[in-house]
Amino acid sequence: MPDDLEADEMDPTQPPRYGDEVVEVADGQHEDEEQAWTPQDGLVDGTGTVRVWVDDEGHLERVQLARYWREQNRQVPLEELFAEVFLQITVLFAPSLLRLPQPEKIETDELLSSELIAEVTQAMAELDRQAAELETDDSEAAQWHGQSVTGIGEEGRVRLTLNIFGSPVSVDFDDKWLAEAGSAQVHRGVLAAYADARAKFVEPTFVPSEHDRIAVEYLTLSERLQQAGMRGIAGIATRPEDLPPDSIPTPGKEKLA
Amino acid sequence: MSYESLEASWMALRTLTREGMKADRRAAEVEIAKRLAALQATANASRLNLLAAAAAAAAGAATNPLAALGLATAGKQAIGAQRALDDMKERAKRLRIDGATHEAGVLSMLNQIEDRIRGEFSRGRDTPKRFAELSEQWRKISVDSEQLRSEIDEFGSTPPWQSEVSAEAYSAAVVPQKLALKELSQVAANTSVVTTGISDLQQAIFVASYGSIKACFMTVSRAAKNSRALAQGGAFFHTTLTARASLESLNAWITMGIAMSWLIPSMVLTLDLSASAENATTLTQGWPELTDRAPQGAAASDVADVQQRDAGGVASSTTHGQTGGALGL
Repeated sequence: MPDDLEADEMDPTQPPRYGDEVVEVADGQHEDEEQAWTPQDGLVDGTGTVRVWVDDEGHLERVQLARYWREQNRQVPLEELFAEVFLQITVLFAPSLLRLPQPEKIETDELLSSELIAEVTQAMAELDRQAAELETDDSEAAQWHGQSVTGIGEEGRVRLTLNIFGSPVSVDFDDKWLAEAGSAQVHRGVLAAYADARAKFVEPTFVPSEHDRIAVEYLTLSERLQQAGMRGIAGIATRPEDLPPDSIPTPGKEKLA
Repeated sequence: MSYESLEASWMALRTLTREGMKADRRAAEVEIAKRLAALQATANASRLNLLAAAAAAAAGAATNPLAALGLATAGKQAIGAQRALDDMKERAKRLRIDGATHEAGVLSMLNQIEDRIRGEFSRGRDTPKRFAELSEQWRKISVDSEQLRSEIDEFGSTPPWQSEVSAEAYSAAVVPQKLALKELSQVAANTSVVTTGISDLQQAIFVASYGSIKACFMTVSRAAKNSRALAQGGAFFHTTLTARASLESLNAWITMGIAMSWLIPSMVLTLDLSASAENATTLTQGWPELTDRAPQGAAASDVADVQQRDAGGVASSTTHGQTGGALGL
């Protein structure tokens, strides 16, 4: 037999090939134990009963129940198995909660001076006092304000709830309906309830805390000094615009030289 | 604002960040352990299911071919459960690795910023005070020089000497001295202002850096207060991630901010200082000698004769062109 695959395929005496060899793989088991998880694998619960595929942002795209799901449901409620998968989605696709404070816009033409530095130092001392008060308060500051929403599918027999960030957290099934439902109905019901919930979902708003307010004020004061220095220094006749353009070195340039 | 205050604020931020990371790790460990325990329970349920199915299959395999199918199904469940548990353990491991990676990023930032604070910032710790003192000394030189020039102008321009020729010659010779004193006073005054500018600039860098460190502290502190609740909702390492982003921003500010924003005012000061020195046209040639710059109208030879007589030596022939009178003194 020739090694050249193309020549082999062109040989009319060879049996037809319809693609790569299919490997039988049990539910929840990978073909290659060393192979890393990929989104194409979907997210699966601990029993391998519920598998959910999501897009790059963690939105539900496809749901599949194993053939033995009804039997498994008698051991562990389907709701718990879904909740476990949803938890993985939350962990893997948690939205970025990073919110770094930014200085406020400063509209002034002041120059850097001893008086300005004294004023800023005094203002920072007041912020230090406010910050110290906050540090003695152990309460958590709720920063994200939003509503969890519930969507329905299969005429209300499937109810899926999203957390305030829009990630699915739970699904409830009407027991009577579930007892009669086929897996395709469950798939359809979950996806419909998810779509309904997402349609109702409103992005949460970030509400700055006292910590954020103080951080912004610190940064604004720092920025005020920096900008004043860029405009010039009180009592000095020379101004930044008087500097010869080629006299300002680029940081790091000297290291490259 | 002193370097010590800046350093203290940095130490507080460093401690808070390290504690926040530890708390993050604890919260993640607790949540991961809870989830693994839940999965373990589910997997055990699945194994019980397998045993039941296997028992049923063993009982009916000979007569009921469907029992074999039941065994296969249960086997798939067990494999799926174990595999999912392994997957979750693997994810937990990756999560710990991710956490360690984030922590390494934070520690790297902490080290970089600390190097700058203990290095460049520490070197400038005495600059505000020392340059304020230098500025005062320059100011005093300016005032004293002007005072001296003023007194020479008042008493030395028409000195009541017995010899009129000597008085006239002195009056002529003292003009460049007065000019030099005036320039010295002006240069000293300007240098005093520039030296204050250097003191202010270093002070401003300390104050602005302090503010940036404190802003970072408040951001990390806020994250630390919310971190445990967020971990329970699946958002792990919130403090660590916040600290990392916040410290990266602080590091960029400290390196680029100082390199660029503070570089320009420091160059302004340098340019101003050299410009004021260049304007001192008399001083740039050195302090004038008594024979320099004979007054306009006075014959050079007369001056030389007077000098020779006063000194009791040989007359000098040195003469220079510009006079104090011509400069308006």
